[in-house]
Amino acid sequence: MLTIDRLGVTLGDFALGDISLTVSQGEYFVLLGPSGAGKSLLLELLAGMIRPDSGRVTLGGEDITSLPINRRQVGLAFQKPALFPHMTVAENIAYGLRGLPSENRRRKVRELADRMGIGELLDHRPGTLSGGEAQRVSLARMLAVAPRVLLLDEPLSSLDSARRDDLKSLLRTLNREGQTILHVTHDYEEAFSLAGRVGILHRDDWGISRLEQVGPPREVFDNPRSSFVARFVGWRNVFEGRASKGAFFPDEAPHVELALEDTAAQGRGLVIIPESGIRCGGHEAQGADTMTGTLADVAPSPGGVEIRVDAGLPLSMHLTEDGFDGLGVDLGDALSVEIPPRSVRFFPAPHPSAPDQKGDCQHGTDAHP
Amino acid sequence: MGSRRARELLSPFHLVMAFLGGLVLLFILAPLGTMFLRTGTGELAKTLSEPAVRESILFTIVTAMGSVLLFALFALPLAWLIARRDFRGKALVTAIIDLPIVIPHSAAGIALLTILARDSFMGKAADAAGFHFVGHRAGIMMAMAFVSLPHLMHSAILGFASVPERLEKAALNLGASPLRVFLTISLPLAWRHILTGFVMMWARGMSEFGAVIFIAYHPMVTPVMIFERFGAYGLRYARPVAVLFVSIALVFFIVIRILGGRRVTDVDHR
Repeated sequence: MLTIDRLGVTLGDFALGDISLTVSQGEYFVLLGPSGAGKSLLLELLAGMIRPDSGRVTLGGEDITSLPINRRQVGLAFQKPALFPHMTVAENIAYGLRGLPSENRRRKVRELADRMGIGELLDHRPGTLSGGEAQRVSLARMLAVAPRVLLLDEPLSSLDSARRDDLKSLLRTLNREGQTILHVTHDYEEAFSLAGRVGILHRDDWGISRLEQVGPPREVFDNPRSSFVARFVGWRNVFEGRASKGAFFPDEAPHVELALEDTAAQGRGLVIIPESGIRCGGHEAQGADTMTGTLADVAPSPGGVEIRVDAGLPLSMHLTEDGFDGLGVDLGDALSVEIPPRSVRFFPAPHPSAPDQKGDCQHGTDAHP
Repeated sequence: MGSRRARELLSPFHLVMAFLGGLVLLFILAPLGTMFLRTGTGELAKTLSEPAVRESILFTIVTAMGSVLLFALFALPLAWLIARRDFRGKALVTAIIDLPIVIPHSAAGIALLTILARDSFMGKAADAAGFHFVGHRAGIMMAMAFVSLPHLMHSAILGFASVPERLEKAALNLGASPLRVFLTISLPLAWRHILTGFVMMWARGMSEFGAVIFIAYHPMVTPVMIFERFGAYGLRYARPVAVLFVSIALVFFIVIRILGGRRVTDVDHR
């Protein structure tokens, strides 16, 4: 079990504030955050490459906060695999295998290479490998030393989508076999497909990155605790504002009134309107929940058309190609949008995007056993 | 990269620059070339047959090599530290390393003599150990090293700095001790720079005259022998020794450069 307790560091432009987190034995934890949130910094802290200003890291009950890098048994895979260019793939994999008789070492290297699907590359030099191959060699080299936790820094970011799927399935297999993994990325879909739990790192207005929400990916997706998290996990129509008597008034357009299903909702909060929950009615649709707006942007997508309508509030929605053609509108044209109250999902404050959420980091400490 | 440059259009400006630059090359090559051309093969063969000359050349080459290898033991760790760590006074340390370049070599000889003479602390320590610096190979090695160390230091610092730090960290991360990382990652990857540094230091040490002559007239290093022959017999007698010495040094220089340059490792510097 990896326990991070109120870890803090300031280094150049980056600052991590009071990060607390527990990754259980055998868990696949994905730490999410936009670039610049200090994700890599956190991994380097855990690997011992940087000293923290405050806080403690324990691994399997042992305090490793000030243990030298080479004694931590924490495997860090860099974003760009740091393979040793003057050694062959086999020598790279064998690097951490010291003290074994050479016969055993060869067997182990062969075994790891086969498992990672790089058995044919053992005599190659790193310079001749593709990105995906290099990433696998780096993983094999890491697994050779049986790290107690595997730290992965955006391992998929430099791969094309086919290689990415291969590597994802490899990582899932490793995890199923019991490998504890802490993986950082900025891609929520990646997190969704791999993680048992996710944590969202957010750099606040003071430039300090904190853990904003921790939980299973589905739960975080369905119940984001802040507008930042909501947008980060992919929601488009996210508005902060105030609810009163069954209506929601967004801060950015107080004159717009969105009807809520829950008429008792009261006070500040956050509203998410799923793109699928908005209906687009051309010029003629009329109804109590109908607003008129202008078509601000159109972007083709694999599943149809993404459009943005400026109806006082910027609203994004997704239409099929036929549906969009049926509307017969062009950029700048007026069209009406209908937002049924059941599509307007209200999450009452307090949520962490409000300043001063001291208790928030405690949410980081293991919501899951 | 190079081919693109080679295809750029030439302007008169380039020609002027090339002309001025060519003069520099001529300035270096003309005296050396003339010296070689003026020396007949008969003279060379005769000089080469003198045991004193052969011994001196061999002695100089070996002693300079010894000083490189001995001082590398201390210079490489310092170079690694300078390339890798930020510490208070780093600028001062690098300035100290350059000192031997900016002071006159005769002054360096005097300074060295001050601490190596038999009545000095070092001299007494050497006495107790059964040898002397003054008039001996050990002292000559010191004098050679003093003036030539900056060349090794500069190359080695450049070499270690060119090794991506994340490779060292990755090796540590795999459980290797810092010493093992230094020996198996940093040193091999910086090797070409270090080898260049060795060659430069060796060549510079071998050709040292000013500092060496204060420490030891005998055993006679070849630069001192050239000077002695010039003083005693004149240019005609000094020249063949110089030609021989320069030729042998050049051969070594070229062989080592070729050996060192052969293994090309594609280090990723990003």
